[in-house]
Amino acid sequence: MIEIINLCKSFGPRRVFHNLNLTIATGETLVIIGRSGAGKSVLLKHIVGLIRPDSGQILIDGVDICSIRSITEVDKIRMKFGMLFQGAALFDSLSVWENVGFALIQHTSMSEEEIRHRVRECLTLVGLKGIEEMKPAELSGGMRKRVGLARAICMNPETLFYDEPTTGIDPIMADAITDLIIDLHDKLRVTSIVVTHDMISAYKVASRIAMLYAGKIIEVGTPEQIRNTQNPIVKQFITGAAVGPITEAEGLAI
Amino acid sequence: MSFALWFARLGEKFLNLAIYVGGVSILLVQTIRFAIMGPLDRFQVFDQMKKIGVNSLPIVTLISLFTGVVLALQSAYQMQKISAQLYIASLVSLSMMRELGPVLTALIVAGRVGAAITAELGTMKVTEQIDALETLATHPVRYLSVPRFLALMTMLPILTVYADLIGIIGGYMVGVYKLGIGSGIYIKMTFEPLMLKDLFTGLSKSIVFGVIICIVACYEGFRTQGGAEGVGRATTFSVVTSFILIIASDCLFTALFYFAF
Amino acid sequence: MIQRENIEVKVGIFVFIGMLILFIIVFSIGDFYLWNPGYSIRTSFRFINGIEESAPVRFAGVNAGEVKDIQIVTDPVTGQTLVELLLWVRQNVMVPENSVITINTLGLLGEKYVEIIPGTPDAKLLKEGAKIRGKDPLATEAIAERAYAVATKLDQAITHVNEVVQDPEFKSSLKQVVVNTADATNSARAILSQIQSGQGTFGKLVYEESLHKNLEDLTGDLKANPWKLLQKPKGKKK
Repeated sequence: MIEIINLCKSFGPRRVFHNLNLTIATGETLVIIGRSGAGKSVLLKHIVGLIRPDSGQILIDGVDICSIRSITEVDKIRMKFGMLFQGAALFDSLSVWENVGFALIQHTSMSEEEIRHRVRECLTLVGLKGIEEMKPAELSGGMRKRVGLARAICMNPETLFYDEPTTGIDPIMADAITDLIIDLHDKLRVTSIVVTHDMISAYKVASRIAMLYAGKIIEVGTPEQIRNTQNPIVKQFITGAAVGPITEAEGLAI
Repeated sequence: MSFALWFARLGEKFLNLAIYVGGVSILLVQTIRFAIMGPLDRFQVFDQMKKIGVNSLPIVTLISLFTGVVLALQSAYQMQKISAQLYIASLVSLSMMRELGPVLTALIVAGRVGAAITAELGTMKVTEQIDALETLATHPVRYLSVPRFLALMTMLPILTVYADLIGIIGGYMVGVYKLGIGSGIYIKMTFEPLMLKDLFTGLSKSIVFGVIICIVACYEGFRTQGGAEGVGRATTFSVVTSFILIIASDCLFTALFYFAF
Repeated sequence: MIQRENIEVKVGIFVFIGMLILFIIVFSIGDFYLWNPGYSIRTSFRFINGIEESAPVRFAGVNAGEVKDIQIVTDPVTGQTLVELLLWVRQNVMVPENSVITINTLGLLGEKYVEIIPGTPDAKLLKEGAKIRGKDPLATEAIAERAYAVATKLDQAITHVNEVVQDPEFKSSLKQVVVNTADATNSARAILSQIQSGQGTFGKLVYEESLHKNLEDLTGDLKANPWKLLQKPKGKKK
């Protein structure tokens, strides 16, 4: 279980979060929606401890990740996480199998043979085969995302984070990735946190949806509740209308 | 009003400088700590040693050879007037060992390797690969900075030794084949004024230059922001900063060795 | 895996050659004595006049080694304070036992060095760790002291001369001497002019023609009849 309590964060004069509260239950798939630049990715990075908040707490199974100073302790918590980055963030100096097995190579004393076996397993789970020796630069965008996902699940994490998993790939591949998220959630019994603004994908994978707006979570609910929301801001976002309270608040900056 | 603005800008500049110095110092301490703590990725270290040391050898050879030749020719111009051509050998060897060998090699490596390090790390930063490293429970300083640090600290002095020798060979070529100084006497005059101190102050300088190149390049890489343009800016800044720091610390060291020993 | 080994081989060759060059340069540099073969001898002085460690050692004026160590010791027999120098000399420098070791200075303000003036070739050669007494250099202070003594004496002498010169009695008598000398030269001149004009005994002796003629006759007669010189006394005795 992950609890975010009164999270505040500013970058210079720009206030990203202001007393943000959110609870993520174990085993659910929470989709966080919001406009580009609303701070969805920043929220994910806070949870995995890449960014420290100005104030507030992020409790992961009761432990506040923000107050841990020791790198090894933070790393221990991170071993329970797997993260798929927006651009997959594969290490381009390493081959595909070295990327997927990176954590195993770094943190375990497994033999190369065992690691290669595990890498093959993970790649099969994301629907890839026979690309172990290729370099990330030789892969297409969709394949990169899958390899990134294989890397995220390699250490059997308890929680998976997806940062815009369907951005930058064609709709068919996007739907395949969406199916993969559901598939992995069922097979690996993980908690999934997905950040996206792709509403089709969001309705499909979510057990709950949370809307991030102006530094706060303004509404949380099941896909059904969000679809029928009375909140005008959420309504404008999910319908994708150019005119509404969000654009009004931002003035002419459409 | 304009004075207040000027003062505010000065304060901001000073603050930025303080942030820079602080960041670089923290990175240096972290790198040394991780290097001592281990465990080291032997392959990574060797890979960097090859990229930094072996692959820099051709350009270092070329430049130090020409430097030796030019040094001998230029001094011949003056030395011939007072018929002291013999001392060209001593002049070339002394200036290569004490000054030009370490400094030129450091500048070449800063331009060639320092830029590459910043560009690589900067690209990793803007494509979130550095974040990915952290989520895979691997500290970026341990994985990226330590191998480069160790490789630069060991490879730069060795490159400097090569540069010293090749510069002396360049001087020898001019002295023996152009000015007609005897080969034996040239070699004798090359080594006669040298002391071990000259060699080792040169090499200790180059270790410090290696540390400067690595830490400045890694720091600029780690703090890169703003896509491809940001990577370009960071690379330029990294090279310029290491050039300035190399020359400044060389000045400091020369003064130190001059007054202290 | 082949690629990894390849990289390691390249780096290995690079480092190996670099180290080789470093060693060649280190050995080519002149002041590197430590790893050259050589031996050390101990020499003691009462006074070493400020010589320092790593000062050069010369054998018959040729650079042959350096001072390795300086220690202050007490002579167990006499209880005298001595300074012991450990001199390192090259293997091919053979120092006879009766060599003289001194401390010398290069130039007027130059560096101090240890000079070994070789002894006779028939003497035994010094071996590793051999002890030899050095000839003490003159302390700069001693030289200064002696110079001071000389200067004092010179000063005293000048004072005495001054005393005599400045005495008024001495001055007047000196004047008298000058006056007397002038008188004497005047009368001498008068006598000389008399001699010139042929007056008096000397005048006659120098200027009278007859006296000269008589002497000529006498010597002519004596040349012709030398027996006259011998005969006469014989005649008297008879």
